[in-house]
Amino acid sequence: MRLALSTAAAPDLGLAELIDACVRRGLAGLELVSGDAHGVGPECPVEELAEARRAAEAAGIAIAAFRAADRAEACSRAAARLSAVCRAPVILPRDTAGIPEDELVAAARVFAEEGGVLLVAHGTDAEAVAALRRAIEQAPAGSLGLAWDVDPGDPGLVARLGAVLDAAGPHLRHVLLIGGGPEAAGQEGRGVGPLMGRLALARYDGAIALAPSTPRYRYAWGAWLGRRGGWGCGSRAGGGLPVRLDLER
Amino acid sequence: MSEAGQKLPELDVRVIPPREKHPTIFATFEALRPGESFILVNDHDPRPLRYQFEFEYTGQYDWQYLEQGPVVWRVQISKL
Repeated sequence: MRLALSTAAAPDLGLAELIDACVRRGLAGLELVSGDAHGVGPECPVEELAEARRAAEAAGIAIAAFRAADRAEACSRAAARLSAVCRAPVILPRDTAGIPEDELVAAARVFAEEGGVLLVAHGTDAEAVAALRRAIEQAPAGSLGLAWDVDPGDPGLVARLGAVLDAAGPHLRHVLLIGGGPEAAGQEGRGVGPLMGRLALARYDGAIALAPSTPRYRYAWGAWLGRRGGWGCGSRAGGGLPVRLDLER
Repeated sequence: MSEAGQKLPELDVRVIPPREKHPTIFATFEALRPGESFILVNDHDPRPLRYQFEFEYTGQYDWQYLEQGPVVWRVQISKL
């Protein structure tokens, strides 16, 4: 497994700043959320996408995934091309799940033609995962998989995580952990330890992207990521010291 | 890589709440069969953990640093 940063933690940062933040924190990847300031999206020319991937890789950071805004964006040929060029799966967001099985399989075929991978986000519901598995088994091999959005605020997480992992099997390719980072200490007893232990024993080797549980924590995430300046603490004050201490007597 | 060419299980404890880290690590170790290993990933040198292993599992484990900072520490812990 490798920890990654969701750009939801710092939606206003450009790609270079995000890469620096990952390096500072020892994170191995970036989950790019559609529309954030990283500048990567299905509308980008191939050269720009390739340049973004190269910039990340040069710093030892992988683009772990691109989380699309909606079903139309996720299932487009342009998204499939992004996936192939960035060597990263595209995630169909959870709130657009419920897409008919044949449409998922059709979208997966487009991804297979372009050399990309489409992942369908799901929650901690083993039955929903089992239903998605049926579509995965009809799709071209390797073109469709699962992305688990894990919410430690879900009181049933510990009881259900084994069933979800069993249902997902080898098709689980990405995990989004809501919280982590500066929020980790506040998640005691919410199943993060059992989750990480079970993922390790299942030999899960995909990314675990960390994202804030609420935008209210963005300040804490910014501090955790080592952002400087712009916090209203005077760190951007220019033109010499604004405060003088006359200590001579 | 090890164990017949398979990638070793990796347990990254950086996201685990502090009081759950050691119990999770020991539970993972307990689940291994003799001869199996996992890789522990942490954001500091897990020396206190090693002392605890030495106390609880004397002669039953092996400890090998794979990476020693400055940002990430990786240790291969094996069950003998």
